[in-house]
Amino acid sequence: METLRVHNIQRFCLHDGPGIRTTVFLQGCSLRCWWCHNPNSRPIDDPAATVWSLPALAKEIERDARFWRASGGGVTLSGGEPLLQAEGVEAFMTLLGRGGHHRVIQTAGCVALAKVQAVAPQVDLWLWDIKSVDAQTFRSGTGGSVNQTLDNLLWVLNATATPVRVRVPVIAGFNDAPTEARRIADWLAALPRPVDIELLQGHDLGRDPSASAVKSARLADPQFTAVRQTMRDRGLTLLDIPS
Amino acid sequence: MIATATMPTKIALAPILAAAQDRLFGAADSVCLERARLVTEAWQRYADDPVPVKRAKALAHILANMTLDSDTNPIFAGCMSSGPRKWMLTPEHGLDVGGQVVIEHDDLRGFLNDKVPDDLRAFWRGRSGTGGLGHFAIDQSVVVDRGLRSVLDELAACEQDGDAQQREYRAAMRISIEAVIDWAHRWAKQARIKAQQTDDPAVAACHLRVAEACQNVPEHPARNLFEALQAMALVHLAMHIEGHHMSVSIGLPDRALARFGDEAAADPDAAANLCAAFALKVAENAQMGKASMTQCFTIGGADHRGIDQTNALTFAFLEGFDRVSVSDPHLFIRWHRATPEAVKNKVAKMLSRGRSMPLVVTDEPTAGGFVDAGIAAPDAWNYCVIGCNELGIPGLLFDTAMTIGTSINELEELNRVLLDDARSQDVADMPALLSLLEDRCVAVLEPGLRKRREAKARIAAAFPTPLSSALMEGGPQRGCDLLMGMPYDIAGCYNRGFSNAVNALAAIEQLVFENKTLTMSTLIASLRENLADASVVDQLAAAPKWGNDDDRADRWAIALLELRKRVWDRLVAMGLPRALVCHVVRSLHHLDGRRIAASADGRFAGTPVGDSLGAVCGSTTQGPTAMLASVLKLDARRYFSGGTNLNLTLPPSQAAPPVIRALIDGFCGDGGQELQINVLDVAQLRQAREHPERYRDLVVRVAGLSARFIELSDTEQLELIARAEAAAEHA
Repeated sequence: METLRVHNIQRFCLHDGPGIRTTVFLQGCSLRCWWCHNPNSRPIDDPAATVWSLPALAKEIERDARFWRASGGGVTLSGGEPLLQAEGVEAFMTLLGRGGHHRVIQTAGCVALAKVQAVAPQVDLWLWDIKSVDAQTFRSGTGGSVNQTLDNLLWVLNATATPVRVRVPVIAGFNDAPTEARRIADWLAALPRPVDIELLQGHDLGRDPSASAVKSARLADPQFTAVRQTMRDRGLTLLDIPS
Repeated sequence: MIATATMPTKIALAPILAAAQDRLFGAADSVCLERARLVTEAWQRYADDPVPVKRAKALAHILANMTLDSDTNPIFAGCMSSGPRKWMLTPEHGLDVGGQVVIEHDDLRGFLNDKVPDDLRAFWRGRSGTGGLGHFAIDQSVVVDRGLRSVLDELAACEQDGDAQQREYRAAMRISIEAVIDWAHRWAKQARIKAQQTDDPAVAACHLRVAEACQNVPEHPARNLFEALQAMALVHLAMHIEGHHMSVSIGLPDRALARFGDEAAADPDAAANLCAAFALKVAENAQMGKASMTQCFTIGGADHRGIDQTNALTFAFLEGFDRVSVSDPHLFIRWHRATPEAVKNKVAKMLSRGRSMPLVVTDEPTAGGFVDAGIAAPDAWNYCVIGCNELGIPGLLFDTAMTIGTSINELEELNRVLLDDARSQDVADMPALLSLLEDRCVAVLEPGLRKRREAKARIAAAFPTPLSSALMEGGPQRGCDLLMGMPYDIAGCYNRGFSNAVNALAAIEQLVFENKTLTMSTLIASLRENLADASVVDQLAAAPKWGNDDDRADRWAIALLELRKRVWDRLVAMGLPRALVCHVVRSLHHLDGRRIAASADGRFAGTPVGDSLGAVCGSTTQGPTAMLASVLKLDARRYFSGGTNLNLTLPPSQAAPPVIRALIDGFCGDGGQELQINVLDVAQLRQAREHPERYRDLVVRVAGLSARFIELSDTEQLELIARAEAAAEHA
């Protein structure tokens, strides 16, 4: 039977897509972002993860279906990196789709294109992290390949009509410099079809592996506002910051 | 003779409303001895009259001689004492401050000790007693559409019917009704004088409008919206002056005022201001100054055919309550499948802003529970909220909301089984434990229920309320006190301690019978020692908790309610009436907690029990939807046909109007019954404690009452902060 390795399930999520949502954080991630606030979700084989059969997982999260329906919400699969378990995710999303539930994938997109393609028909909304568009910056902060995520997003935009919300986590000391913000803005402005864009504040605590001390990923408000302005100056319309 | 109908006067009310609000909420509590003096005089003067007549003459004496305070809120006539927040005393029912009021406002402890003259205390010693229980709503159509003159006509028509007692009671009704009519005329006369004395033309216009209205209402049918509200205000306050203590509710004001819907629709702003001023007038109820009198307005909802009854007045009351920051009266909105979107969105907006009103009650399970109890569908769908969150029907049914002699705290009874019944040490499984609890509940409820009628008769004989009784449907014809005869006689039973009891049962099952990490005797010994053993506390704390959508705990909620069903089946088999159960708190969860020893849910002795049917504060880990899902496992129609209260606290970050809309829609659309949403900001509450002067208008839902946060006791303020902190943890 198809299963999913689940790190955590969170009910009443208000910022992972429209309406009231249940977010399933899947175990395993392809990136190693130093600001990650949930590093326990990285190893795919973490023994603390729960292995769910798909019908059981659907039943578990459908406890809040009445509130999804009432709010125009639904289910968000996040991580970790949900697309690492693309096969299970595709089957699970299909199951949820049969129940008429709205389905969101929150991804960093650093997986083989085939995984994106496998899941894409079952997605109602993508939340796509763009942390950087510069190969070196991206690799230094996340350990991953920027071309993979950018190319995958372009495929989604070109090959499907599914709505996409690009989420840019603004991380102190990583992508907050004006040049980097402008590069991201330029890249987003050139996308083949419109997307929603949301800038996210970094978390208070991250852990820089190169430093022994805890380091904050959060920008001071004026700097964050400056990054937002850079994006706006490039003609981008930004969604309101979730409080 | 009824004067020619006049056009409603248009007056710019906003500044007058603001000033009235300042006067009322800016006043410190003090005492007005007028009523106490006047009732004492009457009690002496009419000592030889039959009690109902004496009571009626006392009302007439008070209304004829009391100061008429036209200054606090000049928009409507009506007051209970000589100034804002001056306590009106009812020495007939005692001269002490109630325990729960002291919990809510600790500065009121002993408030009356040095304010009541010795001669008054001496006179009432041995004369005062239980009475004036309130907890009803009258048939407002008598006041609004027919006028009190019609009641006098009805009384005259059946004057000679029945026995001497009934005839005597009708005489008392007549005296009381005439007294209210004369009172209105006093107000009219004074208002004309006041109009000449003021320099403010708008205030003068208010007085003149009052003068014209009070010449007509409540004696005759109201001719416009203002008169209708004026009539309701005078009668409502007069019933308190008659001697009702608290929880006299307005009923269904938008339905009562439906024939003025066009007038309200033509000028919604003016209608909203009138409703705001009316709410403020009701807030002048001065029996206990700033303490809540739990007066309810219930608006919206459907009738028994499912037809939505929302009208322009529904919106006017919503908007009116949004314009003034009254904490009491309480506004309830009836929610049903076809509640208009505009109403739902307005409700969500008000709650989102932290207004803590309206409270929501759902038609289908509520009216359905009444139908199941044998109430005719058209009446059942005319239900209203009474008191904290109890249910009744205006003019038809109120016993369900008053519950003389029938109250049960399930945690307390479980504790007594564990601590006082030696058999509990040896129970082999959960069914055996529940069986002991069932026997205990039967034993607790039986005597009160058996003496219910006798207790009511005693109160009705000592402290009858002929005015209120005359305003119930068929009251004049019955010629008896409302306690002794109403169209529906259905008992109610108060229930508390439910959430803690569920947690206690879940813990016992897991630790004693499943994991066997505790024996029953160790647990009981530990409870006796107020949980001195930290390892026991840790185990109890880690056990499943109600309100997390966790079946390991939630099934004990259902088990407890099924147990209660069996208890009532046994009581009914003993020839006793079946009561409708209402989970009700006000702020008794503190008083209850002080009395109850340490309990198997990990609660220490003396600490509060749960503040509602929802999760015990601090015991949720899964957020608000999980708590609502837990409660939705309980069939309200089957188990809580007398009502429930469910407090849900949200932090502002989770309380956008669409989110609140969805929570209410999801809950009410799936069988949820009552929902009280409180949006609390921890930082704001802390600020309000530091700088109360800046937060005068901060109204919060405490438990079965709403209050101005800055006026609450430390106990209540800290409890609300704890709830806000617990809610913020999930944000």
